[in-house]
Amino acid sequence: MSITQTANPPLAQTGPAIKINAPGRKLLARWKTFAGPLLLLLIWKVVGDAHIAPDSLLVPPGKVVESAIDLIKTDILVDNLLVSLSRVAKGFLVGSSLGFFIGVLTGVSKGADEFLSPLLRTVRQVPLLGWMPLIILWFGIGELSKVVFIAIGAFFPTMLNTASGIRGVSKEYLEVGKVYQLNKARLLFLIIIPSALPSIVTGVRLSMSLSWMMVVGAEMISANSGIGQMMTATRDMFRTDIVMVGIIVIGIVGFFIDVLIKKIEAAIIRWQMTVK
Amino acid sequence: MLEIRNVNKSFWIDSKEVQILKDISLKVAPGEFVSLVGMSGCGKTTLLRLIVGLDEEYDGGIFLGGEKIKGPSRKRGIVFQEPRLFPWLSVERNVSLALGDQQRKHASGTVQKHLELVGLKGFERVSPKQLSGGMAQRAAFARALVAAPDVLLLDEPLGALDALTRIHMQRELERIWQEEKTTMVMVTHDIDEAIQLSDRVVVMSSRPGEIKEIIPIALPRPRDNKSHDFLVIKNQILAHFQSQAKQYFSWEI
Repeated sequence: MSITQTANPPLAQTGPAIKINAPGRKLLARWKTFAGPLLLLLIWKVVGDAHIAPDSLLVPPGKVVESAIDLIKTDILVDNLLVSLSRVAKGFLVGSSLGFFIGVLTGVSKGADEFLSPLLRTVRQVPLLGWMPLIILWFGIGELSKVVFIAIGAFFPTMLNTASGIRGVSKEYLEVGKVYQLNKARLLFLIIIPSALPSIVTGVRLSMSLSWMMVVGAEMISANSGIGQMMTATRDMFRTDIVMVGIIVIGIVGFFIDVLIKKIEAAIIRWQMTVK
Repeated sequence: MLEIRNVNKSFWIDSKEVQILKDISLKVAPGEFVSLVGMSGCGKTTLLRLIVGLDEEYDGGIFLGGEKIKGPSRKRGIVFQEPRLFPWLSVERNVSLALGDQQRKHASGTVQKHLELVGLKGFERVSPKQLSGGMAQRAAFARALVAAPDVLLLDEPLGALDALTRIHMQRELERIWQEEKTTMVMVTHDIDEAIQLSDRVVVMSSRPGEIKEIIPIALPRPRDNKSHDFLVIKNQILAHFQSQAKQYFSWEI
């Protein structure tokens, strides 16, 4: 950006009077990114205003914005969002750290792999929602049941990617470890885990986005707070506007979680590649 | 003294036994530089892997200082054709990796000393990715030597370098050998390189890999690869491969 500014100074003086600052120009250059959502919004507005369907089914965007402002003012949206996010954080941390340990174990030890992997592969065939009845029976409908549900979902991507990353560590590297007689701990922390790190991080990212999807599902089935619960409760009252707010917030938050995790992923890979 | 006694080694390929090494017997004196030359597939790299202890399925015995070799040991270092440095560790930590727990506690300065030996002083904190091919291989030499092994095994250590770097590194390797006085066993395709560096050159035939001739190189160092004596030895070694090639393409009526 600064290069174009310094390279063409006369343009800035003689050009049109509209001055756009550098970040603005960057956003403008990516107009295609915003064109899609804006177009969708426009269609929604036109169709909604035409009143083809009753408002309770196809609520116009203006109404949704009003509800959103209302929900923000009354703290309902933020409170529910924070409840959901804290559930995601807990379930994700438990599930993916457990996944990491089991992944390392099955990746490193052939015995553990033979013992655990067929079992876990079978367990994984159960659709995640299929766990819900059992979880409710065991843990009730309190906080714990949501955390357990999310943890189950977060467990598998991290576990599978960790194990496959570790199994993929090059034979050449392992030979170096063998020749210089590294003990098990040094082999693991100096060679195996750093080498498998890109794959591990990918698994963690998948676990994270799955966790966010699962929390909404869990709250829709049984909860007295959270974004999912907010949507189910208002659906029963035919408040389509609030349901729409929920959908949009879920999408946006999920998007930003993904962006955040990608940034963390890049930082970890950079860290792995920096000299220690 | 490194002693290889009647080593035989076979691989199973498609349920057929293929003999790779046949009756290999060789003694390498302490401080000696021995090269193994032969066509690809003659089992020279396999032999090196047996000596370093990465492969233990063979008949016969390999002894170092009278003791039978079992598995890897810090007494035997190896430099592979690729540097095999870990990009997430600094040059210094790549080298210190080869030290045992006790050695790491007591020998501060050994890593530094060995980096100096290979000409990498000042590159301690650098990432291996920032090193050129030749420099990375220098670091691999430092790693292989830091634990003060009795024997250093070299598996085509200069094979992946460009021609100019290679010539330079040959001189460097000779200097390192003279300074460290480590026994070295090197596998190479390059006959000039073998004559340049070795006290003895072991010529091997292919399938099965057998020792055809052991040629002592009594030329004074540093050696001139254009001198008459050098070329005589070179031709003596080359003759082995030409006769082998001839057998494949000759006709008998």
